[in-house]
Amino acid sequence: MLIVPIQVSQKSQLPGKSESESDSYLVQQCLKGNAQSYRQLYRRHQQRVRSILYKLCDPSCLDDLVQEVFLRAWKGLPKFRQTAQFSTWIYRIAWNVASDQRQVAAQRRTQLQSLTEKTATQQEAPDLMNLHYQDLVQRGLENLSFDHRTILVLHDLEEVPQKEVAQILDIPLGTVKSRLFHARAAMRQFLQQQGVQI
Amino acid sequence: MTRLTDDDENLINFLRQNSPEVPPASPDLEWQICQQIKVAPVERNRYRSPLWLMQPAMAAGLLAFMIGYPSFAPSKPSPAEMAKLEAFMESNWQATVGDNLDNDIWHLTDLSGD
Repeated sequence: MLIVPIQVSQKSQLPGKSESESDSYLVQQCLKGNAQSYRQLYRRHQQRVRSILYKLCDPSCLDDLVQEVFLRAWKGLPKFRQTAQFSTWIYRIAWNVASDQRQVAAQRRTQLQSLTEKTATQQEAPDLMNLHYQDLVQRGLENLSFDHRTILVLHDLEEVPQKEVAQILDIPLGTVKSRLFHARAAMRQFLQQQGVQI
Repeated sequence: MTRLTDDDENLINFLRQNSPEVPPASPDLEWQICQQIKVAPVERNRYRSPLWLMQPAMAAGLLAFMIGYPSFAPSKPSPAEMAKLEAFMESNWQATVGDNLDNDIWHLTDLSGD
């Protein structure tokens, strides 16, 4: 087997200023009607948008929700202030879409959740144990209020900085810290009730 | 950046390690979105600055002025009115610049003591 060494630019992996500038350039191109530029924006941000939606919404309609986010963003591009980060803006749209869907999400249960519940009693095998923990985290998130769940997903799971979370949710930084404190406490309590000692 | 307590750090690590895996997107999702945006153009005209009203407002104001100006201008008097006005002015001029020298002298005399 031939292994070809490749050079991976750190710049291309980490979102930084250059990326936000090129986001801005792509947005400008989109406003001129260039759909190809929007395809690039989609490819750049879809994974994180998808991940946020998956943790905030009913996973069974994830593709529809991702599609909804990117369509709303496309239609609303003229509203986007060029001084803001495109990522912050589209995460906010994702949060809005998730908010719209949260009632439905609370009532539905996915096939995966049903499966993990059925296997929850078989905790001996390591892979099933992982599945069980994943299920616990998922149920723990569902157990939180939508505000606390959002904070925990954006900050602790998606690693969005607190300042950016405040911008996405349009709330003061102090409120972000406060909600984060309570969200972690609620999640910790849930896990302890399920027999997990952290 | 906020410093995490050990408890918080352990919790976050646990959540990240056991975060549910996101299922992959449907293979044609990107294609579907691209098709949708082709038929849903960017809403260019909905969010314009209020300044865009300036030019139409100025044009409308100028047009209103040009149309309304003749009605504001005084109409030309008829010959009869002109004659009447002329006679009135003649009679009044006679009263004000007549040969009454006493009045003029009286007004021009310095009455203060020498």
